[in-house]
Amino acid sequence: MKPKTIITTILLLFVAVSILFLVTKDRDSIALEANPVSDQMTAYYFHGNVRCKTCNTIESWTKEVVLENQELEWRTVNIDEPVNEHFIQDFQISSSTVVLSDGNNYRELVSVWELVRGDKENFQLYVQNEIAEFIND
Amino acid sequence: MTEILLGMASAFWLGILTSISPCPMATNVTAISYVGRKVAEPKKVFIAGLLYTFGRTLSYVVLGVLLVSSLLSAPYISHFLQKQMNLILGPILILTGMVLAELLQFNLNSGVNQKVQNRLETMGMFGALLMGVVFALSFCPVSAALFFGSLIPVAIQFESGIALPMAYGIATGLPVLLFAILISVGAKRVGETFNKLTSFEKWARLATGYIFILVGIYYCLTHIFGFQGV
Repeated sequence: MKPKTIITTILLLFVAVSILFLVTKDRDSIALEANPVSDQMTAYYFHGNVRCKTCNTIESWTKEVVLENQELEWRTVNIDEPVNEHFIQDFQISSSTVVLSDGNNYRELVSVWELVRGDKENFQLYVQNEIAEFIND
Repeated sequence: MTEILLGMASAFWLGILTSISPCPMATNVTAISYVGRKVAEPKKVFIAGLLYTFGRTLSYVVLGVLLVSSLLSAPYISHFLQKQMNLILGPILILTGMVLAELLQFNLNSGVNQKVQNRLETMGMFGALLMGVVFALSFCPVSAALFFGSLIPVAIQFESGIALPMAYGIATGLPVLLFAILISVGAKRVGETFNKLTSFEKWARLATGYIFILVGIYYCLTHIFGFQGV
């Protein structure tokens, strides 16, 4: 067999397997436990199936601040899982993000994406201030 | 008036931030290779760069109009596009790359084949526009956060579904447009020196095909099989 034919066959097989995996994966992800909004003071980090490097930095920098705070619980939630899709509507979220919630009110930390490009100290100061304001409100 | 100009400037800045983020890098590389492949015809490279930027801008303006007039819910459309568009992009890029790299050929009789090829050549320019539309709609976490989370709230505040997304769209297409300008200027010089661009163009097209295939495989691995991306 010519190398060109081999490459073509491998690529076509790869495309076929990808499509097959895509179809079966969607079918598998149905039976998961319900995951409602917590009524505790909680800091959520929402992400999708794809977790980029910047997203991971946002998560780890925020988590460090939250874990130092005794009043907050930390939860990481994949919004691409069907049981978590309600969070999109509950908190009006458009992408990977950080949300503070006490079960009744919530606050999205909208500046995390811009601040993550700067230094860690500034980012964490912003998170600390947002947490303090949210708790005092 | 000053306020809307400030709004447009910040939209433009958000577009620049999107374009230099690591996650749209793969699509930028693909677009640059596609736009630059007609290296013997600098004018066509430049027009393709413009059409690609126009395609991106068009997508953002349509979304902007629909979102500002509340015909669409930003969280849902963002979630839908991030999840679905990126899933289909991988297989589409691989198959397109295979056609460009001549790994997939259609056995038609020579007359019809020539006609189809000519038509594909004409469509090639509009391919850049279509690519701009599709790539703009393939949101990754960074671009979704900056477009839906940062730009749209400002656009709603200014009630500007057209101007602000337009500034954002032009800025996101800038890297490809700048490369198109550089390639067209550079290619002219190379052409004057070597006058061998026709054979180089064939290699450029094959390279473009393989870049499409590699980026397509990357998209399949990260979005379908769940490997971690950049």
